[in-house]
Amino acid sequence: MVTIIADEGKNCIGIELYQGFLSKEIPAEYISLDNVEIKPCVSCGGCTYKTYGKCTVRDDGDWIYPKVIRSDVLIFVTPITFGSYSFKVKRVYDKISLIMDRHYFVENKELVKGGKLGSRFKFFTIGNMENCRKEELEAFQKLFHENLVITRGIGKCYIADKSLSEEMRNQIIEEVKKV
Amino acid sequence: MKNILLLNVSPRQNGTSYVLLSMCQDYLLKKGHLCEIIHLYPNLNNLIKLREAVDKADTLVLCGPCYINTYPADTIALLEELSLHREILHRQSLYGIIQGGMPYPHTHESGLSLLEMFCKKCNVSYKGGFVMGLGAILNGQPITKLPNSKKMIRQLQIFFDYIDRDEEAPSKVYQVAQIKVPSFIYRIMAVTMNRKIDKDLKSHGIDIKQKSPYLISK
Repeated sequence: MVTIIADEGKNCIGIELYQGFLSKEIPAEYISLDNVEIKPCVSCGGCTYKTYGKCTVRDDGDWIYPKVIRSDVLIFVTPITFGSYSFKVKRVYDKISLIMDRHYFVENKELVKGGKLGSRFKFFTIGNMENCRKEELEAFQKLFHENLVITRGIGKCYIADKSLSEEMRNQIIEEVKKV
Repeated sequence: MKNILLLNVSPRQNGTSYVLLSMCQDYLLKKGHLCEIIHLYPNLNNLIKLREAVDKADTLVLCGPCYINTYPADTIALLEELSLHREILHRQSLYGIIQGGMPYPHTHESGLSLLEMFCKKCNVSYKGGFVMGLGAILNGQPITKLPNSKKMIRQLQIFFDYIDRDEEAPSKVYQVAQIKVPSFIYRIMAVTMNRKIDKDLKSHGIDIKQKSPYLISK
């Protein structure tokens, strides 16, 4: 199962990709972050000591994180915002440790966190470059690379314009199939 | 004398980010500047007070924790909100401080890039930042509790000095404060920390092998 979480803005990159997966008969789920509320992680420690492995705050995370943990592949679609994820996507991502192993490992001679519980974290990001400077694209790709390092993940980062070209869509689907 | 606004973008008002900003405030007050610390999270639903403070400031120092390689989501929302009010952005100087658990600067540096990109697009002058690793182990305690505290405090003071002089702080300032240890030490650290995590969970009656509640829920 592929789960696409999209902050689309005025564009349709996530939904186009979702349709692409379905057309190739790859099970996929599409979550638009329009009208979704994930409250901020306030580092309260509740997901450790009160409800182990679950956020103590009741919001749309209650149905989103079960989908994410059950997915084989997670794909974020986000407008690149000052070289980073958008606020809406980052609210989801800030709580990703809910589905991650808490333990430490050493990889490439450095400490990293344990990655996704039960399986490898397979993670793709599609950044919408509208209104972006070149440096922002570089910053975004560097951020994604660091995300893979810290989560022991595998995946790729793509930069798209207002819409997804057919070529890029097929390329992403092929890469997702490979991981 | 400059009007310096110290912005705590951590959700915790008495955590490590606040400790760092308090040190910065003490240092800059002694240099004769006006310094005020404002916390972002109590103002999340109404940013008017914060916008007014930004407008009045000559220099902004933004400090927060690293959540998955950059500042938390609400820092991005704050920057977007400020970008919509260009009238309050008038070439103020902006410095960033980001602190996270991992000891390596590269893990946290994307947070500083976020600020730099914001500055480039929004008529604010980015003057550099400071990355502090191992911040999570402090949990609001003084910096003296860090294993590399002497070096860290010295380098922080050098960084604060750049803020005092309104000069660009090079990344070298924080890079020299980082701990450099051979990888086998990290292996020992990982084993020790994992044991500590498991022991802590067990002492709270938590079964560390239990399934994620998100796999159990409908």
